[in-house]
Amino acid sequence: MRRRLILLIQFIFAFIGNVFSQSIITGSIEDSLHNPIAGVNVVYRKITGNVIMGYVISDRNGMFELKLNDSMDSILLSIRHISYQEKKVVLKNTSGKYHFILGSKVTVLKDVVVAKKPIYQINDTINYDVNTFTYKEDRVIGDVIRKLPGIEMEGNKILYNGKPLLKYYINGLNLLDGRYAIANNNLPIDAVKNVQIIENDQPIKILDSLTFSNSASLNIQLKKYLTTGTAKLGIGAGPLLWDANLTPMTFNKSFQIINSFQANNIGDDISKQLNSYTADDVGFFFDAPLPVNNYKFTGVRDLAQPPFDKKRWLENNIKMGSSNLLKKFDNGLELKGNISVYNDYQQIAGNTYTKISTPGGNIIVSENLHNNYNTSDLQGDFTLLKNDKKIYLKNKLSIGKKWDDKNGLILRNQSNSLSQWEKLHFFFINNVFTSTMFLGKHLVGFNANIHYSESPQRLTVSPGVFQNILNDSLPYNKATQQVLYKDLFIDNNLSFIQRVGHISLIAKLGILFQQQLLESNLGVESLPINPAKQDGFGNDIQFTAIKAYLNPTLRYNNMSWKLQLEMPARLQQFSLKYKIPTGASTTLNNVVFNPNMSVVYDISSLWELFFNMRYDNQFGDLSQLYNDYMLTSYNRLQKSKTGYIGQSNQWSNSLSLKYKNLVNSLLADVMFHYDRTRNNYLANNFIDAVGATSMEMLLLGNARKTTSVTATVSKLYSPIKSTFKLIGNINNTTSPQLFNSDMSMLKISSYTASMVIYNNLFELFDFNYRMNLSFITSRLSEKKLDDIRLQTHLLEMNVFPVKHQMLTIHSDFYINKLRTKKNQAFLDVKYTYTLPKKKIDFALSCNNLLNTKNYIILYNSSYSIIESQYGLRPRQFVATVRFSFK
Amino acid sequence: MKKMMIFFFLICTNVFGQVSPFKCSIEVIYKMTYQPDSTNDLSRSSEYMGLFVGDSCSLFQSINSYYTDSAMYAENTKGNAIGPSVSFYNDNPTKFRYHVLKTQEGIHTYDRFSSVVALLYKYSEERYIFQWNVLNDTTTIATLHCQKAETVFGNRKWYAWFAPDIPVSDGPYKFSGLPGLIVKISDSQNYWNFDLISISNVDRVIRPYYYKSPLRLKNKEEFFHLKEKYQKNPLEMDEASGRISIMSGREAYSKRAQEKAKADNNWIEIYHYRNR
Repeated sequence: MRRRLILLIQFIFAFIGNVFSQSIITGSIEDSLHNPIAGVNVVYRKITGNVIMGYVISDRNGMFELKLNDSMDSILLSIRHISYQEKKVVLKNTSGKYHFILGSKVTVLKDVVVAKKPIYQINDTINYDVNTFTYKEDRVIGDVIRKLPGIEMEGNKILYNGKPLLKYYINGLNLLDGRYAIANNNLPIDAVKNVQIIENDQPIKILDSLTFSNSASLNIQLKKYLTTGTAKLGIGAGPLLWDANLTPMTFNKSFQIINSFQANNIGDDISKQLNSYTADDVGFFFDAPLPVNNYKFTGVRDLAQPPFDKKRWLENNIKMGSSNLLKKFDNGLELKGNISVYNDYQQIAGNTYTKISTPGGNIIVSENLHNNYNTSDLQGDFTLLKNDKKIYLKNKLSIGKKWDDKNGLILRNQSNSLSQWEKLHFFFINNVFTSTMFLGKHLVGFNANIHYSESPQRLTVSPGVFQNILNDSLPYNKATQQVLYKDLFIDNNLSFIQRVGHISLIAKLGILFQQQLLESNLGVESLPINPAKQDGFGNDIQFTAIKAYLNPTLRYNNMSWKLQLEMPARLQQFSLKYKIPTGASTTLNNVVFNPNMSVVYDISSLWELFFNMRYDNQFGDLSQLYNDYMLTSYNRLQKSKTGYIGQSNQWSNSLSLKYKNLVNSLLADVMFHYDRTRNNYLANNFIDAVGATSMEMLLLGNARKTTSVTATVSKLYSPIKSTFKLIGNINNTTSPQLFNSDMSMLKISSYTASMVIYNNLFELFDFNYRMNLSFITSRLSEKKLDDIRLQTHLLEMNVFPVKHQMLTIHSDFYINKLRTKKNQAFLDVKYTYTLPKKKIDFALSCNNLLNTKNYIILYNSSYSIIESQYGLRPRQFVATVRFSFK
Repeated sequence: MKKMMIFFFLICTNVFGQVSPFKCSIEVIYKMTYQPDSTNDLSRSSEYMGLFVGDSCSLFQSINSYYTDSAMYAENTKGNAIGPSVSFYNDNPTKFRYHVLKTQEGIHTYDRFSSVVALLYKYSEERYIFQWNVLNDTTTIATLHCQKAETVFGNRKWYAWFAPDIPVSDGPYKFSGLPGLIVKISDSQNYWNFDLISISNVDRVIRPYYYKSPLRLKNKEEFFHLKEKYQKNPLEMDEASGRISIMSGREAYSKRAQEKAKADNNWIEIYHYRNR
């Protein structure tokens, strides 16, 4: 008892002692040179605690006085200043005087970013915070990119401010060139830290300070180096359906690889992931497109593709593989290989109802089509790149082969049945070598580009068509069009660049050689044999173009102006040799100038003005030069005037104004475009009573004009977690048309407006809604043609009734002005269960729940208004497992 | 020469009382959310503010005014004394023209009442005016371990969260003197909030820009007194400054200014004379 009392008294005294007799620590703090340090934090804590019990900050003389207020035996005193080494000492809780000397130290703080601004800009790089734009249903980076303000997606193609991307980088490396859809559709969001838009990107480092670029690139910044990817397996019924995808990818500092194996028959056209959506760089003029000639001369009659999700109608069976590898060596050399292959079997069925308006009256044709396509494609690209401040060296070798086997059955005007077979092979090999380096003090570039392609093709139509022309108006059995097309193209040039103050002077001097060979034969097989028409119709043409060119260019840029003047001059010779029937040849020599000017003016940090004016002389290629008939499709027969090389010149202007306010997350732009093309030839169309067109090129000067205005606005409203995008477009085209030798003017005006809303405000659901209105009106001379009006409403809604479960409703509503039906609705639903932690999605989807059989669309093609009806995929169920792996 | 440069950077105010350039190594961005009209919830607004920390001083100002200062410097070095275009100012609008410079000597505030009449005032306060009461509450904000502290300042009660791991005794506005960077601070009525957006290591020279030397005031009270007076008689005071004279539309000008004043009744520090 007594002992307890003593303890109590001791306790009380100890307590009072602590309250009334607090210890005071005084001291001084100096650096190693004995200079007093002001502003040092002197903090004390419990020895085993994190909580600061008291503190003081040293004065200008480095002195401090710290009152200890607690009942602890000892304390942990820490002396801290950002520029000095921290000192920690354990002291008894008693008054005392101390002297501390701190050694200097540079403290680099850990960068902290909390509530990231959703969009912020550093120099030319706009950073989009991925989290802000990620909704619960989003899995791959493409799901996020399509929502970003300023960015739009047209299918797989990414547009920034309405313009295609220059490059798509992952961690700053360009693994995929333009085939970025493979990454965009398969890279899991979890791996991504930031999406960046690099405005005025100059991918060629040696040119960085010498010349500017006006294009934007996209970069995906990953959180860390990792192996990741997407895997998916789906099985469905009605009939047997499958959908499989395995896309592993590895990203390291100097090594990136993406492989993808995909197969499905659910209507997902994965071959589009292999398309290139950026331009290749060719030295200083990386925007110069490769002259890819249209190699296809003939083919089966196709249905125009409906403007909505292909999954609704495409009956496919596709298998695709793609392998992409990039290795960057320590010396900066990059080695890249991309190989892809696919095989697709498609079935397309539908009806078209075409109203051809001619000055003589309307011709109406109805067609019922059943087509089968079997396409195989193999392509490989091999790139060697060295891109640093001293040298730019790139060699890209591309080889590809495509096999097309198509057949089609047509029932015309409910009575005439017709079969078509198309066989087309296309092979190409292409090598582009580009280098830029310093020769002495001067920067010199050398580019060599060689391209060869050949394409044998055949179209067979049975029974024979165009009897009046091809078989003396007698019915016949079969028309076979054979074509062999070869194209060789060699372009070598040297370029020089010199920078003087704000001005860069660039000159490119080069020579280009191109030879195209076209052999064709249109054979008529008739029983009984018609003696008058046995040899058929044939072409054997060699077209050679030699062009020597000089492109002097002046670029000026300062803080707010970027100006480019280009004055390319070409000395060129075209020679055309007809081996049959006459052996005639034509040569055309001339000198042309194609001036072009563009100006970018940064009015302020928010506004930018862009103006471009361009004048371009173009000369006809082989597709306009064959002198004997070619059957390009079962209802089109075409030829041009012998020995005549068409010429045209195009004058185009565009003006755009861009607004970008990242504090408000508001991006907008408006673009005006005016384009006038003068041609010295015009197609004379003869349309017969069944709508079959035979065409001849005639020497006749004419002009075609287009004006258009496009405006886009996009904004993120953070408080309501919504992104809005508005796009409006007005387009007017005037072009002359020649029907049965009668000239008439075709005027087409189209107005479109679209709106997209992404909303993620509520816990229970999110949605995106797109609306599209379009109105097309046309006049042929003074005669008004049918208007086309289309309203599209698309709603995709994700409901999260319970955690880890999601119901996706995808509905489309089309309001069309049609002959038969007005409104059309579609509905898909999908239920997803996500296995927590593992992030595995189990989904059950029902496509076309309403089991809509057909989709009808109205569109115009110059002087015809075409109503197409597509057979849709029936109601189908697919169960899918999908996960991303790390 | 190098030593002279260092000397030049270290001293943050020059003889004219203007802020000299200084080398900034840490940039802290806060989002300031505030309600200028206490009677109107809808008046809530926000702006990004920057704290630029150097070796011996720091500067706090709105990010947009930092941009315009930088642009002004750039234009001046190019020989354009007028500065960036009006549109640049319009593009980087700010409602807060003050600069708070914290040096070892004290906390110096540079402020002006309107943009039309750029008469600049300066007043100084003690370096350690804040009486902080450090509380035991801790939390984690943006991966930073934080502790709570409270103080009374400008006739408001404030709650702050500071990060002891960042030994920078600084924070938004005048707030400072805690043993760690202030990561979040708001007043008890939640009218004024500062929330950390980012901390970054930088290496740049901060050059606040003023046309003219500031007019030194005796103390803070004098400044708020003048500010209130200005709100009541903006026209007269603008004219008295000799920089502007309004020939027509005086009524409208006055009325507009008064309406603006009425909606700006909830200053960060309450020193309204009517409240006394």
